[in-house]
Amino acid sequence: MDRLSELENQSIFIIREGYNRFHKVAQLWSIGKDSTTLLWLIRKAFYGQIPFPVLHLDTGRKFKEIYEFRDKYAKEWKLNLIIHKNQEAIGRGITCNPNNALECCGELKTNALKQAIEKHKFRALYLGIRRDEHGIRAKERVFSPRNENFHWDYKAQPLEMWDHYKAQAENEEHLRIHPLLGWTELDIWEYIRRENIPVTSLYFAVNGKRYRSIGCEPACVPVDSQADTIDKIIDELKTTTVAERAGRAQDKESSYMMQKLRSLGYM
Amino acid sequence: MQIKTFVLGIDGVPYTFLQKQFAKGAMPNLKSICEKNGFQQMNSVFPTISAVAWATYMAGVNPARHNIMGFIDRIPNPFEITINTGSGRKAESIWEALSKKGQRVIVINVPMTYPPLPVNGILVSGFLCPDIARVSYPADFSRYLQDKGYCIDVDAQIAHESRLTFIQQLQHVMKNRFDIAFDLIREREWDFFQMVIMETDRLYHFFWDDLEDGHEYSGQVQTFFEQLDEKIGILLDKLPRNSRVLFLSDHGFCRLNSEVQVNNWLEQTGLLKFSADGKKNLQNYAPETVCYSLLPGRIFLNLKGREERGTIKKEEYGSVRNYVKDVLASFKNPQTGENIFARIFDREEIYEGPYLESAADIIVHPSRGYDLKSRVGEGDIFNKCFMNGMHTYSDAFISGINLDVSTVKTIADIKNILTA
Repeated sequence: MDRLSELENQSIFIIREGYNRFHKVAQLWSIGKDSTTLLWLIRKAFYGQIPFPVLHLDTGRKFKEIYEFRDKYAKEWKLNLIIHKNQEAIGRGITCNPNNALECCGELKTNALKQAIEKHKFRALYLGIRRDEHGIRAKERVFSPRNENFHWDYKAQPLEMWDHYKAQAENEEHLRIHPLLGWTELDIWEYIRRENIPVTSLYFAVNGKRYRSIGCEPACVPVDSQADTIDKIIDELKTTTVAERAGRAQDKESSYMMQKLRSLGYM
Repeated sequence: MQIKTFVLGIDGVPYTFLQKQFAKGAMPNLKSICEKNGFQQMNSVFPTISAVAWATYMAGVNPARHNIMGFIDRIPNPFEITINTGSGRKAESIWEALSKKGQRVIVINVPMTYPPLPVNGILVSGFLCPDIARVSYPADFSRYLQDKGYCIDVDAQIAHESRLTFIQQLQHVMKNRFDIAFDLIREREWDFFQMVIMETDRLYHFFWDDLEDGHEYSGQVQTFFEQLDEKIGILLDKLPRNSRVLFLSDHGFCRLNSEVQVNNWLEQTGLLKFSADGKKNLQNYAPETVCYSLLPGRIFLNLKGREERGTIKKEEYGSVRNYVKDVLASFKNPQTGENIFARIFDREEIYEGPYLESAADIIVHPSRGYDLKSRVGEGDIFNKCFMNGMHTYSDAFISGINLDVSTVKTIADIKNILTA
């Protein structure tokens, strides 16, 4: 079997296993290429009818292309879409601010997610993260427990040797399920090309710039690129030395810093 | 032509450590500099931790004027632990002041300079910068660094896995940082150049026993200091003869005998309480709590109107604080009878300025060998840990070539000399 089909099979297995175990699940959809690919795989896993909700955390500051894309495909794919905003924080005037990404991402993403989990009593969430995105994510597991305080104890994780997954959670925990963990950025684009998965226009170069990674509009900087088609993006990725998330301001800064401080005994 | 100034910060190097090195004939380059020019012991800052010490150095004022009180802080209401970054600093840094005067500056690896704020030149931020792509001002300078294999910081997690690998990486990263500085000295226009070597702090934390007693890695650790000294020798050769050159550390080091979990002790004395249901963590402190601690040795009273579940009335503040200080003064090592806290301060005794309110109400400084931590809910008050060196207040060093440092008493006094 070719690499993409192997990745697809493995991801679909993880997706079905997660749903069998937990039922009260949702997918986190940021509308970016990874979570849209994940959504595609979930649709495949359940033959087009996703038996659980898709959750979008709306910071109010996403690109307009993101909102348009979300609404179009939510309708077309008949998603049970839940849009959650941290109204309390937005009421306090918190908005996306790249100079204080810890605060705005903390409120508008992390706390918003806590609220949504609490409100809908989700036991597990599907996320489209990949190991190759960022140093801290290299330590992730496919089934990754978070305790009630959202704390991820990366040193006390279940072993996942030879792809035997530990799909169990303590009662007070929720589980994060990462079906795309083993995919690379290049795999994602090659799969998007093979399956003809729609993605937002932000990824394609206009006037020599394109976005490689998208989030809140004020926190994203486009990279120099001439790639205005999927083929050109794939060629570009084969040669680039720029990090995928180079244009992202927040980037899990805080969890990285905490790990650093912890390893020096400062936490 | 403007006389050039180069500052080399070497994190955590004790004055007395250098004395011993010099006495045995090691580190000949730094020895000769210190013998020909001034070589002094210098005080650091309370609490004695690199985030506060370097912030105090660069701002030239006490923490109540620059607002960096530790690596972590808390938002009192609703209670939340936060991590400090350089964007919280409220006083102008040395390089910002010099930039305003039109001087060209290059700043490399000073802790608490992330995010990299604009200067007239180049700034490469240091410890706690999470990503090399965002390490520098201007942003595209990071590509130059990546091409040269620059590393922000050796991951201390490695020390938990392989101590040998850890030392080897520390050696490599230190040498690489110097080599990049040597290129920049030659290639770029600059009037003020600052670099901090952080690897020494890591070495002392994890290898103090090897240094003092002679252990498995003593040779490797000594090699590190020989390599450092060699680089210092090359550095002097590369600078114009009339340059002003400053060497300093931000605090000293000594042997760590025991970590002290101050919150666990406060809980034992009844000053810190947790609600019966729910987990023991600071977010979950009970309203009857009198005080809690953030690392290192920062004690916050549970003041009404300020803290989330504050119960101490404003008019009781003074008397409660005195009471807490009495209790703190009674804390002894049960085995030796030694006081755990050598010094206990009201914040206004050691700080002065507009951000006094963000400081802890009481700041305690430990007796030698007791490293103050703030773990919660894991039982022990005293514990050994994976580290065996800890910071000291009084044993930092300073030495200057073509610079009079005789008036420098603490790390806050240096900025005046460099910007005058």
